[in-house]
Amino acid sequence: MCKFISVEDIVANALIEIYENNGGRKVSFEQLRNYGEGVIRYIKNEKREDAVLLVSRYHMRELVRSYSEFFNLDDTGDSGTYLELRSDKTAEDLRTNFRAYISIDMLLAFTNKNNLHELGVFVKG
Amino acid sequence: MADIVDSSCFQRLRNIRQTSYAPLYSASIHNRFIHSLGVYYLGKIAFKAFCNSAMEKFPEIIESSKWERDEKIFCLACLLHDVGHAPFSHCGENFYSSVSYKESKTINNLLIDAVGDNRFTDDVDFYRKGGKEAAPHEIMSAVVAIKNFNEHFNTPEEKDFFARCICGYKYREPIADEKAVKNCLVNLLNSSVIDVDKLDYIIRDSYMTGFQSVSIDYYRLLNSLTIIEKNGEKTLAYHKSALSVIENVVYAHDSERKWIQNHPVILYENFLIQHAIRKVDKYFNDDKKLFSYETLTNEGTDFNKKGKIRLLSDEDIIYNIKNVCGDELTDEFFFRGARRHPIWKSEAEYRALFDGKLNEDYLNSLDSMFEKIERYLLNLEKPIINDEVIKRCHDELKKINENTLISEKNKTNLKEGLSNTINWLSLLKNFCNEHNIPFDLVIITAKQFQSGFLKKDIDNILIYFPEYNESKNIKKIMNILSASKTRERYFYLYYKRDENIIDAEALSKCICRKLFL
Repeated sequence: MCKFISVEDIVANALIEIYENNGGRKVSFEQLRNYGEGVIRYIKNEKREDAVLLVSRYHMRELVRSYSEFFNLDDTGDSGTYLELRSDKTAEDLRTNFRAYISIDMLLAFTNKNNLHELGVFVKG
Repeated sequence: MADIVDSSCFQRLRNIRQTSYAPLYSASIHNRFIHSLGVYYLGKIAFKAFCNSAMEKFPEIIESSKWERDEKIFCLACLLHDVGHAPFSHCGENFYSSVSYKESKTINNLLIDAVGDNRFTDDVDFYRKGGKEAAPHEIMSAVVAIKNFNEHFNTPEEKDFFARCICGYKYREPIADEKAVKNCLVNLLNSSVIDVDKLDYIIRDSYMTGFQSVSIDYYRLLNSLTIIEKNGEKTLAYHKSALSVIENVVYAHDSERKWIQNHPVILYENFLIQHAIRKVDKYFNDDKKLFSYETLTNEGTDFNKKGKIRLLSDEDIIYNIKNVCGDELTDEFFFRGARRHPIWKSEAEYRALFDGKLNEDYLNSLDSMFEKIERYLLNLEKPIINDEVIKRCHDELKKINENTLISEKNKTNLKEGLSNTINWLSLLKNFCNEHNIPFDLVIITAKQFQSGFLKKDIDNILIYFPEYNESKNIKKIMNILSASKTRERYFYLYYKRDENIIDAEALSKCICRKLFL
């Protein structure tokens, strides 16, 4: 069955890794896109399953509407669009909401070290 | 345009349902074909009004532009804006984004190739990287249209303008007046607030369902279109006389979203269709793809022993779930008696059930918990709450402990999530057993993706006051009824109503006890 990977899952899992490994709180949409495509490739190559990244502007709009308690969207600058973890939230909040209720396969895709490189996160092992 | 309307490509739209409202509103069986003709009609009116305003205010633009060709391409885009829509409209479109690991071309690549214009390629890349990518059906519509009706375009620039109108990709700065005017036309067909596409479906859906909404004077609205100069750039605005109609459009749109799209019967229909499409998609996908450019065309794709699919439409999905790859869940599409029933039938009923028992914080925790469980179920073969899912959760718990690739911290998260899920599902199971209800439930949160307005988009609509020769953002001059900023996060729980009707009050008490523990 084709898996759907939502933009909120991609953003949250990316920010967990960036926050915990690099101390950062924001990520560019371009990085997210590359990270998400890595996740899709991983599922296709490792699990032989189709997967879809749901990141059109309509999904982004829905992200702003539904998850503004976690993320701020900044698209005002010239350097592109960024998603930022709100100042009153921590990586732990993201873990509780977005990492605890996923399958093992999805977790492995989100934490795959090649995919993390797209976020500027380099982990050993 | 007659050659286009009569083509098999365009006639395919007769077999793509516009909405999934029929289980609630039986007459709502209109399709993308009639909607496309409606958008074309409104597009003609809008272009004429816009052109008249431009001629009056900025005659130099009219003189320097190729208005006749612009009109033709804009109206062509209106007519063909949905020609690439997937079966069951928005339920099917996400499958276009799925590219088989044996295939290299994404729909974006197809679009860039079809247009063949460097500036367009750069802008598509910019919008993709900025999180402003068009919806899959928009991209596919531009591809299908350009490839199948190529003779209607004289130059790559015309294809560029056409694709921008459908995808909502405006020309980026620095832009000359000619491009600024074209950006106004892009907005007329595809904007985040009011455009001829939305206008047609809001009016048509209301008419076809019989849902009593406000009346929309589209003629007044479109004839109020004007072009103004703001911060040195030509841009689209509405004459002040359209204010009441703009408010009505916003109200009608949000009303449809709230009372129809979020109705539990409609949500359940979407849930069934999504499952059906996934089944059929899986059945066909191997080295060839079911949701692809080729299957939409007359030529089609040969899936060998599985048969040939061309002019892919709702019927192909229905035929296959009926005869080839259906299951118990897809059978509910045909046999409505087997469908699960929502325990509460509106947000108000849900709130009333828990009012006095749970404060807002507890209610948020409850909503959030069920939303997370739904997310976990979403990618399963059968997203149903039953004994099988509880067993699966237990099996995953064991696998986590055995997996050496997962860090301890991640293991803790996963275990916590699975344990919470098992606890809640077990609570539901016990309740069902005690009340002789089959433990066979479905969760659907009423926040699934639908196109909608963001308040900031509405706030930025420009209203022109000819007396002052000035335009103002709508937020500066009136409080418009608009999409609420609050989060719509509540959920529906569906059950099999064989003989016993569920006692909602008893269930709510049972849930509250669990929350307070």
